[in-house]
Amino acid sequence: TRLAEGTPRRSIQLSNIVEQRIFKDNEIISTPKRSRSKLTDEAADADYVPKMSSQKTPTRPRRMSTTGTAKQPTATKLKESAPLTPSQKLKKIRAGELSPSLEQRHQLVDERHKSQLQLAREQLHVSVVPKSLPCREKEFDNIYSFLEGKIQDQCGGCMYVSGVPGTGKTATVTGVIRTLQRLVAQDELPAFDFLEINGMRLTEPRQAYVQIYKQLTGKTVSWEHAHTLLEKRFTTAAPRRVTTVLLVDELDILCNRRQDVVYNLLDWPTKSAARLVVVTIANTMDLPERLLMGKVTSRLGLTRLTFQPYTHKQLQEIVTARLAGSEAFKGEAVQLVARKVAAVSGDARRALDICRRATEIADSVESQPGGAAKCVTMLHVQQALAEMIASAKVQAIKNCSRLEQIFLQAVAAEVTRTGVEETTFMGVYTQIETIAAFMGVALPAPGRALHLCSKLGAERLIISEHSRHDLYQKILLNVSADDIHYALRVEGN
Amino acid sequence: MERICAALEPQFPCRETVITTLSELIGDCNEGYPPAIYIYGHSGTGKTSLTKAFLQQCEQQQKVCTAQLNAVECYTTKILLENVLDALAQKEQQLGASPLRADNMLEFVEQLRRWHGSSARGFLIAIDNAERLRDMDANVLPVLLRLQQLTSLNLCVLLLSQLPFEKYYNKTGLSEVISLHLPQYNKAEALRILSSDFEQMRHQMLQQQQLTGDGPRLALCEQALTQEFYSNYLNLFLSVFYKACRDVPELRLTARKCFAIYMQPVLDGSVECTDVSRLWRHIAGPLRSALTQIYMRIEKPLGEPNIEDQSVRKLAQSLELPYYGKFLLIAAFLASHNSPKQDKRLFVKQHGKQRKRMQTVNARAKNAEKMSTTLGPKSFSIDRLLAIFYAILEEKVGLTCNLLSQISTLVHLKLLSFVSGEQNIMDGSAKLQCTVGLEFVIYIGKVVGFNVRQYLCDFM
Repeated sequence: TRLAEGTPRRSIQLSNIVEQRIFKDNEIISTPKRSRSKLTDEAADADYVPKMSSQKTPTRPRRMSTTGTAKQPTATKLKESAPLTPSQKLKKIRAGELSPSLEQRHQLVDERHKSQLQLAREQLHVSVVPKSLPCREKEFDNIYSFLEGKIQDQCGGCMYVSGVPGTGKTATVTGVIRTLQRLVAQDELPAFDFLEINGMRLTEPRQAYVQIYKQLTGKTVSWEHAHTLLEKRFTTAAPRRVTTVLLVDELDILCNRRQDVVYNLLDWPTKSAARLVVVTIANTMDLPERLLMGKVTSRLGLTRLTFQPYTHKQLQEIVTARLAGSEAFKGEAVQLVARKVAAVSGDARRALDICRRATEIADSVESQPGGAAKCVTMLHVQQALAEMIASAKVQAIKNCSRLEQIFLQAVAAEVTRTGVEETTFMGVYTQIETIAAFMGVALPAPGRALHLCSKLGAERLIISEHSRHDLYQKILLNVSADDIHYALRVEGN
Repeated sequence: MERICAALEPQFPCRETVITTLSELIGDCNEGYPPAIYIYGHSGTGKTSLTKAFLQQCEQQQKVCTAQLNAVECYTTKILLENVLDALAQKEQQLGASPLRADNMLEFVEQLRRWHGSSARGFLIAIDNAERLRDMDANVLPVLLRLQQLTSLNLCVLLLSQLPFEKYYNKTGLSEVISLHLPQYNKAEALRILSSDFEQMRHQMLQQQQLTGDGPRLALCEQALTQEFYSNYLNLFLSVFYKACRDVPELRLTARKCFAIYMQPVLDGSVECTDVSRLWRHIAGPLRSALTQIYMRIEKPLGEPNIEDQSVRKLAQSLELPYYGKFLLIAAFLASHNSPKQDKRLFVKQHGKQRKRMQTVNARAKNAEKMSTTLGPKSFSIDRLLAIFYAILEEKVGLTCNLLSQISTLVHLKLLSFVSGEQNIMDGSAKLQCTVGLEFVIYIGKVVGFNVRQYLCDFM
């Protein structure tokens, strides 16, 4: 036909294209006009791929080459071609044609010679998420039934998941997604797209649009452009659109004053054409009522799920499941960790970290000759707990210089004398005079005392102002007065 | 190191210890410098000139790059950093190279790190008026104090200021710094420094006499002007001035000015040059009047008494305000220095008789020393100002816009100033204050024939 040989004309008709697509004529460049005017339209219409003609049109070789690189495996072509200038590289990165990669290691890590403790340490690492999360079966079922229902029904919806850090929210949700994707691969469920954004990884809430669009097409555009394109995608009906599941982690970071981003993310699922399922994750349970506007809360809906902090039994189960079959840990050691962590926060990460530290301590002890026990005992765990939980303030006060200790005592004495928490340097200095005379220590000059004050302030044992206010600077005690007495009294003995 | 000391010691008398300490610290570029030195002392103790001369000597004798700058000039961090880089690069790079750029601290440190392989063995950065560094970005001072560690160059930062280092500690702590104090000169040292310009003085006097072409006076001058004679003069001079001022540049300036008057009777032949007591009688008056003019830097012949009184009167004379403007200013002064409670008694004609009560008498006696003219002006509203203005003015003028615009003109001339409510002048909540003194107003009152004291509560 004429189209295949010459330059594509602007006067091409839609009916023409449809006809060509129906007849599956591979020789024809279909929709040259659309691909020129709106490059991104092809992306919005995901199931449609522009086809290439095998014969090159001599009049426009450059256009062909740019569209060609998008389709061909880029890595092989890059090696052949000349090195890119930085601006070319940047262009390709923006278009998503170069994938970011890291430098490779020169040597392989030897996997074979590993002790039991090393293996246990690897198993206990926070980043090794097990396939099935223990103690979260109920939550798993809840999310699974919600998402499966939405995908089956091909409608949109929202869910809000909350819970304190380290209770397995993200791990459970991604676990559900993985299960669903496996079902899709077995053709037991209609296909769906999975997108994931994290509020903490964005510099600004509006960058959420850019991230979502990038995960859809691989291209990086400005947020305004991304917003209009996403708006178009989710509001206009397309016949063969699949369901999109969007996971929004750290929802509270996306809340700005206008709340336009959160509103849009929660408004798109209400559109019938969108087929968008949004799962939002945040830490606080009452976030929708506390922070979000009425219209946003109303769109968020009432499908909520709260992850309770782990109890000590659950933590014990989690750690034992990680260690599965290994003899590295004593039973009571795991129980001690679980009980200590559950009493404070119920954070699984914390428990795993403490266990790992305990294996390290056990390792270092083991390296001495004689101690052949390849096992983490209560003592190691206790040492790890002391390192990671115990407060360092008493130690810091104990290791202060003599004058610094006098200074801290003087602040505490001044607080007792006046009854007010906030003291001025002048009052503290008079107390230093008294204490120094009492102890028979040479009195430091006020300039020296200011130096002490700034040092203690930098260590955050006290809270002080800039020393330009010298005598009138306000001083707050940042440790409790009991800590000071305890630290200094014990040392005195 | 010894050569630097030898070059500087004649230039800076009475600073031998400081020069020795400084050259021990940063005298030799082949040794490691301390990271930072803080030099402090009063104004006029030679911090800037000593450091400048020291750095110049270092640059001449050793392979050292130096930079000197004033923190007042650097109102942003970028200017500070680029000034330092430019100054250091002057010796390092050939002319024509493009100026170095540093937008932030990180780039600055990286630029400096590029000079590792260069021929310079040391870098010295001196920053004057270092107290300004506290007001710049929070990272400037901490980075400068450990610039040696960050750049791993043999580098030292010298900070010059009038404050002790205790005024610099911020909330996050600073690294250690070597403090060096430049004490003020005592009387003997000041005498030694001032007498060092004897040769110049003698040369100047002789030249002056030669120009006038008076033979006998020239001979007399040559005979009388000896080192002893000059130090006698300086002794007399310092006995008057040293109590008030120890700033050497200021003393030197005034000593030169007064020496001409001191020489006058000697040149006239009326007094022998050895007769110190008679010379003292001649010079005592001019020296005392010069003492009142210290720090003012007015180029005027000496010997006019009551300079301060004169200046107030002169200022009041030279300020040509319109008639109503003068009354407005007087009204503003009265409003500032009388309490609103007294207004009725002072300005309303039929205010009724005031009963003298024991309580008020006691209260007055207690606050006798708290006169409102010495406590400073209080604020008043524009309505009160206009009310007092109409009360003290005999004729009744219309409240025209000319009258109101004079109020704003007085504000522009800084005779009145706004205390609060500058944004809402029209709704009457703005508060003004009168900034002129009592003498000034009394003088203006005399010009328009109005007795100000009569209307001040303090003088009743």
